[in-house]
Amino acid sequence: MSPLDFVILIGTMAGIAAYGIWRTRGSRKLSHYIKGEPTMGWATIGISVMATQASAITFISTPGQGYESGLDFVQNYFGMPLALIVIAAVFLPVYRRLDVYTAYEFLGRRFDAKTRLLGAGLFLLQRGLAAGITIYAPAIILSTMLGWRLDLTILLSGFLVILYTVAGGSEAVSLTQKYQMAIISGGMATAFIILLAKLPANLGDALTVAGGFKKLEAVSFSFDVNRRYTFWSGLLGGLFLSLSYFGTDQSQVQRYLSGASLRASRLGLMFNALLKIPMQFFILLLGVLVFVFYQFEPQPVFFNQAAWNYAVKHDPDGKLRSLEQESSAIHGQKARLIRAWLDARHAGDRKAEADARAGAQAALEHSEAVRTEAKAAVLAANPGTKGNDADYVFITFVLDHLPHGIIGLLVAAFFAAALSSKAAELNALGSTTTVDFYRHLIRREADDAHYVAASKWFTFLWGMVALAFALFANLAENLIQAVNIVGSIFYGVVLALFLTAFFVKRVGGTAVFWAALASQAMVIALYFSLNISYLWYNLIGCAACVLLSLLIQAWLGPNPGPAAPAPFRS
Amino acid sequence: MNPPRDQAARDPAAPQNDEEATGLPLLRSWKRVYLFVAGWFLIWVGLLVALTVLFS
Repeated sequence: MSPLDFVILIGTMAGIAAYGIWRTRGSRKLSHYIKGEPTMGWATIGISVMATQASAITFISTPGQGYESGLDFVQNYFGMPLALIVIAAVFLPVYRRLDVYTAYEFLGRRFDAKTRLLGAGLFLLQRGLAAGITIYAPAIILSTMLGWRLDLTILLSGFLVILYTVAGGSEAVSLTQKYQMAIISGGMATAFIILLAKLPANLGDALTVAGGFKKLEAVSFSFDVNRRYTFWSGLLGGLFLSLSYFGTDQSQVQRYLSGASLRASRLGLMFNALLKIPMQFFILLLGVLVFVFYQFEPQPVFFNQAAWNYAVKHDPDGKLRSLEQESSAIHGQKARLIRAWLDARHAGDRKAEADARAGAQAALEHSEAVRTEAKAAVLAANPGTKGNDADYVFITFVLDHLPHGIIGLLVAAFFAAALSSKAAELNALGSTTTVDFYRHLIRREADDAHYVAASKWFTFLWGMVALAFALFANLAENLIQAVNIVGSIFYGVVLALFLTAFFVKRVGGTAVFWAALASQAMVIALYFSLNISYLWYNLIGCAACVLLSLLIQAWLGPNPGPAAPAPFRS
Repeated sequence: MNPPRDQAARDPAAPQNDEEATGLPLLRSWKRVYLFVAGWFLIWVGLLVALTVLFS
């Protein structure tokens, strides 16, 4: 990175954080600190919801996923628009009418205190565990590629986000997300345009090459449950995952409860329902076009260059260098065949087109085989390295092929994405700890200033937990995968608590509480005994909890009705 | 009009009247907004299927 890149990176990150702190200075009311400015419009809410969901991994790793596997990951989002409609129509009016600070307060009103604490506890457990990942995951990639110290990258970005989240609360989070999302959108759009300009083929030819190499298979109606992304798993599993995430996860609920009105909150959600699939499509397409770009331009055998260089130094036999030479030779041959394929296509010579395409396909398979061998060799030389280098594809393209200034903008976009999702998480962890535990169980009678101070301290403490986890995550790389799985295991049951609350009037708190515990145990047992896509656990956990709660309620006898509000203060 | 707060608390999951204006031209009811979003989703699925078929 050049000095210009650093000026853009530091200027945008520090400037946005400083603006967030300045705009929210002096806030003493708990409702402002947790829910934000009561005049917030639908656009700010919509951007805030989008920025909370889209972490740095979305913008760093998703193009790599497009490069490796094509567009099929877009199906993961097929359930989201439908889930957002359900939340806007059913969940949101109730949350707003009850004027709750957290989603779990609603469980206390509808069921009882123990169910509220169970919901809030499950949220703190899964979100608290995941807290370090949103800082660690991008930091490891960026520090590796930019040659920065990992611990300093984690600490600097971590303290920046803690500073403005603690100082300004929910309002600062929403305000900064608006500008961070502008940086992200600007950066990604610029990268897309420059990539299009740099492609040696026009867009039509690029799509022909991508399609010929099976990178444009966006939708599959296969019923194979072992296939990770299909229309059905995306629609059903994605529906339940999105209902859980947007409807019951406080990091999202807090974003749209900050709206000036029910209308603003609803329109903010519909903004996301309209834009999420197109956004993910374009990010994946960016990765697919990077794949096409590297079919014409020389590409690294292994995209994690730091791991590659380390492995080369510890490769006395020179195996990696010979793989690199082999890859380079195949690349030249493959590029010639692809050009011949496109020329034959333009000339309308079907036979020559088919021959050249088959030759290019064979060259690609050969090239992939060399890459696989190289990955295994890098892994053998450095067992701590991830064998999959897809996360490094886009950042390699950015650093090698974009002009200075734009590199700074893109790196700023990656950090902006990391900070915006992290800020919403910390804000939600602090709010839930304050409202559902501290105010509910420990200190019932205090003024707003006291609870704002408590919320600041809890946010700070969760920030420290996240930083500690991020700093030590490199000692246990598989924790990242474990944390993602933990989220999927818990989400279904948490969603069931809410679906039962909204739609199954006959079930009371005791029945749903024990049903949730039993279903959770069952999902954990199934996880250790089945080998299915993790998305399905959302559906299984949810269905099991609703059915069990009906059975337990039938055994207990009729439910006396919704809990009275008095003992369950918010 | 929303029910009074104590009544809402006793039946927190009771249906909410849905008459708040959307403020959008053409899409004046929330039902229309939801149908528009669902239609937009179907258009995108159709476009993605077309992309899959055209370039396979």
